[in-house]
Amino acid sequence: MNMMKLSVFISLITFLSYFQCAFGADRDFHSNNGQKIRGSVVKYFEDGDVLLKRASDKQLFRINLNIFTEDDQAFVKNNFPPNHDALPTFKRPLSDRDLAINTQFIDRIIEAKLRTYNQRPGKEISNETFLRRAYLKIIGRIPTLEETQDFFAKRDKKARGQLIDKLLASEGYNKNWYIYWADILRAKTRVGNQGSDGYPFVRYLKDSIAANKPYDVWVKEMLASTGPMWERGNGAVGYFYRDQGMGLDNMANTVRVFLGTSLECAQCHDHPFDRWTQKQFYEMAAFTHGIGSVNRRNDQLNDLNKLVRAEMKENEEERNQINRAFDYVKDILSPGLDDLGKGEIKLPNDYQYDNAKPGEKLEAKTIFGLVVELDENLMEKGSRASYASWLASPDNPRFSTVIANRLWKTAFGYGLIEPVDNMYDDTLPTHPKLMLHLEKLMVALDYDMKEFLRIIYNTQAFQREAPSREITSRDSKDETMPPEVKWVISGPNPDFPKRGAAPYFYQGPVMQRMSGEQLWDSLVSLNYSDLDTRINSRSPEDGFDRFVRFSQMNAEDIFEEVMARYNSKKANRNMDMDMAAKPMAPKNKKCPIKTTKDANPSITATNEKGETVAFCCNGCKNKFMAALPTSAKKNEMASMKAAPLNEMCPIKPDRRADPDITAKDSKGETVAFCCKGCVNKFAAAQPAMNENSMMANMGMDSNKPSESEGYKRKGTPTRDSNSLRAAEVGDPAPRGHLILQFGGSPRDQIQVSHKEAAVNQVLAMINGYVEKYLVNNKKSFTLNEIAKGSSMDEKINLAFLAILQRKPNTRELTDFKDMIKKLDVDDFHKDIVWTLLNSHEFMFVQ
Amino acid sequence: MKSDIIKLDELNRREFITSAAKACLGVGLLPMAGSYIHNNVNALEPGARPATARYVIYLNMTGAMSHLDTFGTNPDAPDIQGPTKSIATSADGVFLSENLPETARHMHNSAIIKTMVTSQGAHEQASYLMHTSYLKRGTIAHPTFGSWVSKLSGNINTTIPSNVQIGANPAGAGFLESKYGPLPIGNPSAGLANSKIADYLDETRFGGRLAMAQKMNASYLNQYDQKQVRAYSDLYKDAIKLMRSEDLKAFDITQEPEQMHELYGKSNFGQGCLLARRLVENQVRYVEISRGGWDTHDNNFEAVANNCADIDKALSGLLLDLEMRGLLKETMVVLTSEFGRTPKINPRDGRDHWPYGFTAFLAGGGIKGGTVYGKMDKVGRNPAEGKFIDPASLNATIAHAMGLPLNDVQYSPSGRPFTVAHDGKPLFDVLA
Repeated sequence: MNMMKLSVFISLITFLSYFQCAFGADRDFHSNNGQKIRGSVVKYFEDGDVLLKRASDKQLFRINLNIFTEDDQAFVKNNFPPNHDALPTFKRPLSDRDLAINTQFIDRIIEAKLRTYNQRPGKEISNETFLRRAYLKIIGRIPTLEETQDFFAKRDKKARGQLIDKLLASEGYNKNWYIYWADILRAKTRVGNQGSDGYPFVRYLKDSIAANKPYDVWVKEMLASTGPMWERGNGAVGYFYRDQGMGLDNMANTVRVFLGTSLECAQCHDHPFDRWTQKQFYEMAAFTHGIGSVNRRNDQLNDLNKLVRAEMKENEEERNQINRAFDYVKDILSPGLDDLGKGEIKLPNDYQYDNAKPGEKLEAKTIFGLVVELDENLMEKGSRASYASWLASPDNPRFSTVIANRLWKTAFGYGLIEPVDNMYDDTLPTHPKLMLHLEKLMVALDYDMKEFLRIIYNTQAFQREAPSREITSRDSKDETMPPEVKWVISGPNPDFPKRGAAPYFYQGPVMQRMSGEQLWDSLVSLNYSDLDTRINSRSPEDGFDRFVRFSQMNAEDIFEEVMARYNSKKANRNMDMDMAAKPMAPKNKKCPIKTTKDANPSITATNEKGETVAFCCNGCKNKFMAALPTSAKKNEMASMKAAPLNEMCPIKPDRRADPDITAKDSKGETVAFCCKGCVNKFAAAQPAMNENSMMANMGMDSNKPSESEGYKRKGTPTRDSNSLRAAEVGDPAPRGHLILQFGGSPRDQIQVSHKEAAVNQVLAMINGYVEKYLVNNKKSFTLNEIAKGSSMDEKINLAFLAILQRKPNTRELTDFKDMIKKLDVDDFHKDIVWTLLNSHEFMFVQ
Repeated sequence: MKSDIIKLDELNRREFITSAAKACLGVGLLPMAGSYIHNNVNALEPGARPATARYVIYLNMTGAMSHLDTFGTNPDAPDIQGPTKSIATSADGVFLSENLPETARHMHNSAIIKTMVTSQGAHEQASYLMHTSYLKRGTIAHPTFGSWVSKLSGNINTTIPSNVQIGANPAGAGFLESKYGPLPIGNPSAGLANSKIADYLDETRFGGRLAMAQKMNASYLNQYDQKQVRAYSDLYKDAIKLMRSEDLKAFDITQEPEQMHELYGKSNFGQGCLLARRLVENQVRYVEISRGGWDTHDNNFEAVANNCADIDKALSGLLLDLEMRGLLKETMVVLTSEFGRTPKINPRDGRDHWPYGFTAFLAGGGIKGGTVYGKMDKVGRNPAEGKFIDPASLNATIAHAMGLPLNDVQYSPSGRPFTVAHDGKPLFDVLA
């Protein structure tokens, strides 16, 4: 009788014998009504059926998962990817036809779902809203006045698609998506206590995004990385270096970021809500064990250490200074990994469960998905490679889900699964059919994120109006909505939001406040039209060159070079101390800037005549210094260090040289330049100098084209961080920066950027950045464009276009004109700009 | 009006609790005098208790202060003590280092915990533990103590945030909403950043702009009536209110007379303490001031003496000023660092990191004056008498004095439970 019931769900499969039983061992599957079948899963179909091979007679059955117990269902879902046999392959970039087929497919899935709830999709957005949304979502800033006018000038039906293509191919895309991944992967220039030890990873991320590396390839590269971190192009090792000293945390972070699964509880005890045990955690961690210390050991480094130690012993008084002098070399040569992973780990000594002994040695084993055997050639291939290819594979059931869900969320504001990185066995997407399709699409596109986004941006769904009312997560006690509804659009009455509420199934993207980075990039783009291509000239790129040079030298030569450098610096220092006679006591009693205040004799500067002047505070000192003619400033600097020989830049003779920007000429003398660009030109014009000459001296091939040219970052190097995009300002942005005030990520934890409101944000908009660097900035590119407007009407129009990407309506025009008349000032364009920047419409992305 | 209701409310609760205490325990009003209940519903939850410290000023000595040369001298062991001498204080039998002569006059209002220990010996991790009571993990951001204060007790003054951080390193609200995080003040002399309108503007012109922006925003809010939009509409009102409010003066130490500046000392730290006093006067509940320069691996004794000149003046000035204003009995002043420094003096005349024993100085509201808790062994390496007090327990002690519910559970977004002082237990020996 029971057997009969079960057989209702079973249909016999006749052939398919060519399937190997790759999917693991036999186990008991229990049906909901208590029956049992022993066998193994051959295939998991996307409609929810499994192909089961019965152990007793090797017979194949196709059974719907629903008849099994929850545990068994979870086992299948967690361990087997849905079958992707039927995936089409696309030629990339997608042809117009393929693109249309794909976007329509997604739109149909969404519309069908909405129909079942009697909902209509939102209205199509205007060109104005589309322009703004596309720029902010794809490249992370508002369009410039010129870009806005260009787009509106087009009457082409295909204009939107063309704009999407243009933006995806632009440098702005790289900057914007770097910010996205830097937040998730916690990219920081400084990981340890000093130096720029995190920079190789920063650079690696930027390069990977600019190259649009397929997601799976990229993830594998990081997880299987090895070798020296500062070697050009090998910054992937920085992924492990980021969690230096915290190898177990690194594994938990990896699983969370790429598999959307939280394991961190199991690090210290069995997971209380999920089924992971501490033992399983350690078995996973065995794959990467050894990455806790990302420091290489080799003969060169050992020899160098010996020499340094001997020197320190010899010169006890200066041992610390000498030790520190070698950081210049060791910070570059040492970080990295030597091995590829051994796949072993020991349990902690206080292990408390009885499934293993404390301190027991465990072998690497995956926590779900296909069981991975460590490679036979473990010594050659290493365990990290097995780990990488297991994790970043379409066969891993959560790998594609996570990335498809993440990218969908960036476009619409809500993922199909929330939160994106804490999935449980019983987690269901709010729209399973759409989720499944997006996963398949991701695989079919070979994890090409740009193409995936291109499809999403081209859907009608993305080009619809944002719901105007609040979206909240569905109350778990809500009986009016079925459980599959995760997000709800509130009803019209704010006091009774449930009344007349509608389920949210992506009627349109949701409105959100600009992120800290979007806001910063938008504000700065009003000042600089070439913002996207500017790069920070202060990035510590020289580390890569240093690696090339030092890794080719033997320990003795390095030792001698560093000691020579150390001794010459010491000599310089002593000379400076002699030269810089003790500053004279300041003569003034009152601060020269704030004349009412007393001067503080410890805050001083040197004026043009070489006299010492005291101030009440450092702010006043800075003001004073800024107002000083350059020559006096040079005096001030000269008192701190030996001045270079030249006053004018040798490349651009009409410009003054900055004594901070120097290079050595062929005679070994210090020459100063006006900018880094000139240094590079100078170096390029005299190839026999510097590094190359040194290499030539060592008998190396100096005719070889310099590799550093090929590895050079593209863009306009700039020092002023107020003229750079968030991606270039700093990793993370400096303390107290506008980006951080508005919730930009401090990069300490995974994805901690936020969009919370706070009062200091508003103060920055009212009186801070907006006033200081935009409204009151005589050089602001857009402000000047607006000021050039021939009439009051035109100025208002231009300001609206530049800031809100639309024209004012008649009422707004009248209101603004009224305001201007009342103010009765000439530079009223400032008031227009200030007002628009302080409008909610500017701060929110519709 | 609103504040009147709050006061009334508070009075009623106080009456209620006093009468309840009288009835149940037979205690009179007197022991309750000087204690406070904060104006938050949380106060009525189990685990909450009347506060003895309404405000906390936390002086964070970053870089790790040498406890042996400040609050934890060990005169019996000249080997480890080096040249630093001990001096008597206003409390019988309590000694401080000679570097702190002014602070010594306030010892009768203060307590020292001599058996602080921490499990972390690196600055960042130890400082994180000190501030959050939890170990630093790559997987979650824990709220700082000040953020917990802000979350659990609410602000008394509604125009200023209740958690202010002066000086470096403003750590955040962690998984709590960011509004509980500290309001950062970089330079105490400059006050609250961006709180003044641009120089070229007059009130009329500023008002004209503002009115126009508000008109646009009202219409936007009408179109998108959502919480996130309303939040900014409200914040614009708050910001303008703050800019125009008398409370903004709380951030402006230039309004203090010259003698006050001198009392605290003109250093950044001294001026920070002065600002902290102004903020406490304006009912800001938690102010932290950090002061670096303590990582004295080299030349410890000279560096500590220099630092102490600054600290001693500022701390004693603060305690004196609070006392004169009657604020000391409701304000707890805490001074400690992320760990201590080695009893062994290294060849460079310095002291290295020592997490196995250091000191915390607590004074004012809620503190049993003249107390020294615990004792280190003769070689200054490990606690010999008294419990080991870890960072969580120090935080629990402060939280207890502030009347915060130690067992109030807040959940991180991934559903993990956390409390204000983790597994810390208050150290009643130092509490009044």
